[in-house]
Amino acid sequence: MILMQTWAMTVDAYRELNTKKLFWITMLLSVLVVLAFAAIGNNDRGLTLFTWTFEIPFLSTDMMSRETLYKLAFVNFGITFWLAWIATILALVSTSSIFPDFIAGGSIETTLSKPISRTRLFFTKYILGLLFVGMQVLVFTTASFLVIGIRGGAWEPALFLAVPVVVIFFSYLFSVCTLLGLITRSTIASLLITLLMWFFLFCLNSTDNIIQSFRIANVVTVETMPARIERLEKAATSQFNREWIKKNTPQVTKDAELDAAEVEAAEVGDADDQSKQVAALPADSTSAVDVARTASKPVVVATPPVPTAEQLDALNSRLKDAREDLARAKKNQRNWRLASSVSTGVKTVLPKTQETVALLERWLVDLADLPKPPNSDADEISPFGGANQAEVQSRMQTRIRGQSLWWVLGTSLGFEAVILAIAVWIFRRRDF
Amino acid sequence: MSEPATAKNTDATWIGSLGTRTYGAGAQGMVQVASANEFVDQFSGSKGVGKLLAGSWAIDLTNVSKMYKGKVHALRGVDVRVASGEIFGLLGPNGAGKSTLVKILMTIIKPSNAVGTVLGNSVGHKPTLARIGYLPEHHRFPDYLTGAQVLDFYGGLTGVAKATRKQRIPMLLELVGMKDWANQAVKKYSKGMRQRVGIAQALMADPEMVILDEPTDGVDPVGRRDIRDLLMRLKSQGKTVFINSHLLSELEMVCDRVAIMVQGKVAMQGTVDDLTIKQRWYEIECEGDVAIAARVIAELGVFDWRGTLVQKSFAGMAEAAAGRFLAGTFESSILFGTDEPGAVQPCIDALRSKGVTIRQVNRRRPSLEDLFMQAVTDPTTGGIFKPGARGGAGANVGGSLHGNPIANLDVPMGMKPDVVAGEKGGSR
Repeated sequence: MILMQTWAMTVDAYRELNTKKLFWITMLLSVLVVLAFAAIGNNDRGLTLFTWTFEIPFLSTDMMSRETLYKLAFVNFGITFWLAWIATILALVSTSSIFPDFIAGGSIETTLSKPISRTRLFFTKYILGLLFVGMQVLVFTTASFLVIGIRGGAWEPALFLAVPVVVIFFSYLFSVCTLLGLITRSTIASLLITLLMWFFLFCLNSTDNIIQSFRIANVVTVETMPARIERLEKAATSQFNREWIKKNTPQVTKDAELDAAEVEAAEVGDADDQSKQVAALPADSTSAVDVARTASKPVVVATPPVPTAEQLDALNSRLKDAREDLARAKKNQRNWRLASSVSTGVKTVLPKTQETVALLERWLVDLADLPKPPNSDADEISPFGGANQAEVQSRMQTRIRGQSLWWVLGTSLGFEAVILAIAVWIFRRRDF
Repeated sequence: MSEPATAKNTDATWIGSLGTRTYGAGAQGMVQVASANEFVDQFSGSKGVGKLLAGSWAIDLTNVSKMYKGKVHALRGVDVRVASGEIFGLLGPNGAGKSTLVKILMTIIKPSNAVGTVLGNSVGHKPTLARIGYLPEHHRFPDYLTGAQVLDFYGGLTGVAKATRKQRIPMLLELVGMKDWANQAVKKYSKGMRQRVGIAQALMADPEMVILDEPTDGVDPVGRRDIRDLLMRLKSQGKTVFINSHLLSELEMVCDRVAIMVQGKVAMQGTVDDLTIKQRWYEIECEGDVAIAARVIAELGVFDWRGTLVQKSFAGMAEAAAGRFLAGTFESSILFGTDEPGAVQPCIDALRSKGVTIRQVNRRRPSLEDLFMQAVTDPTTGGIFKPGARGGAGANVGGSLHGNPIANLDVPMGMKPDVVAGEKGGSR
């Protein structure tokens, strides 16, 4: 009986979607996207499209194998752009009318009068909606799998991970659309509000990225700034000693020249390079006492650079700025930590659409040896005070890739479960 | 016999899967509900019902009430019993609660309170619905389905095996005269055609009981006759038919028993004969001046003579004369407020002895429409009850426009006030 009812609803759902032109248009577009995908290639001169060649050296086979080109296109265009954006919007438009039409007056009465519980009716309808979206993703992924295999020569079954991941990603939005459809009974209203919510999630994610970047920059500042200040202090001391030597000795020692190099190093913003340069100096060259000691045995090697008062002022100014940056970072540390906690907390209870899609990229990079996509999150980071930007980007990357499966999928599915529980509660209680 | 327990049916208990004999444990705990097999006929005042055997109730409801949000009291303690194998008609003005009652039976609306059984199981028992065919009022089948697909889909939902569906679909479509349209999309159907497919859909599972909400809505006269024939055929097969309709004349032709609902309550229930047993009269139609005949009868002194009557009925007046039957004239007839043939024989003799020519003598009873009008009339004001179930039992402002409704009993159906004429829209 249950199987018979489920099958009857499946056939009905197919017939319903079959009559929706948009369902087939989306399917057709998916096929066209994959055909376009198959039409491109590369040779030793650059990118090819059918028989045409576009001379793009960095896409030539010398720089990138055809397999890598296809994998790159699949990750950057197929998943991130097509499946996670365009196909999802089209799928939402196709499926948003399922529940409003289902509960429309005159339609629902006949269905409810059949020996099937409302809960089962609701979930069967809901899962069938997802099933047909999964079908579209499956068609796209299968076609992509074949294209990458035939044209690129790499058969990667891991690509099919896209099907469950995209369906799960879509289910976050579909659950909200379903609830809204039950409440408003309107296809347009439920679709628009769902899209608005999606936009809100996108904005929230961007805001969180910015907050996390600032927080990490703050942490980096607090961690690395004391060492920088120390080096600047040492450099300033050496500079002072050089002034003193210059006044008392007509020739410049090799040590003094090394001191000048140290000053240059201290002026460079990159902490790593700076520390390397400082490390390259003789151990006894950074002490004013040592400088004074070696000054008694002068060795003429070159015309000494004459430090100016401006250079000394600039060094002192940088030292002052660094101290202020550190003080500010320490002062803001608590605020950034609080903002980060709030942002993470809010995201935890909401569906994580971008992270879910990013999860697929993460897996495919590992499982299918796909090229790592450019990290858009890191690109969004602006310079942060005195923190080293590369370090901030590196830590952001580590943080994003270190997000647990439970946090990304578990909490998002938890949100979906709550939304569906509310929806089914409404559906069961409502008088039609 | 177990005493049917009454209990507030909470949301939690009603929505959940109900057992055959018990509601789920709610705030009030487990509540026993009497099954039809245990029911002993206690219904009184109706010969037809009195003949029914224990366990023969297809529907046995007691104290069904429904309060919608906004304090609209749609049902106020409805008691309805439908015997197995009979055709039962549910009547009532717009907003009386007919559709609400039907939807409660079909689990589409949850009652605020409901005690009773449907086909021997508790109200709300989902598996029982497999044994009931239902045609909703204003139904709308998915436009993308063809007539055959509609039957296939709903048959599948009811649990009818695929092979059976394949065999039954063409038969049913032929039965309702839609065989030639089997593979046309429903969106191309006229209202009457949709209604026919809807009836076929209700019969897909070969149900024990068929509940039809306005089955002849939008159907042409030929189609109505076909539906009437179909109902009689279903009855002959032993199926119970429950019809909710405004078309009183059609119901009168096919229904074994009727219930008239007014403002969320059952005002009358029983066979039309039973309901009119005290309202029958004899009518003697004379040729020539009826005043002569009237004088003869008045002088006879057997009846309490009332002169010229304003209605062609003694509805509600038979007992008014405390043992003496009423009589009076109406147009060219003399009406005698009695159902007893012996009471009018002296009158016939007297008229004939005085040379009055008698054209015909008829035994009359009120029509279903007359009963309906009585039910919807507020006895205190003589006005028509307000459409809808909200508020108390007061008459509406429109009542004064109609005056004494009894005086309007002979107005043709189409001339009746809209509350009687069967316009839809207000019912829930």
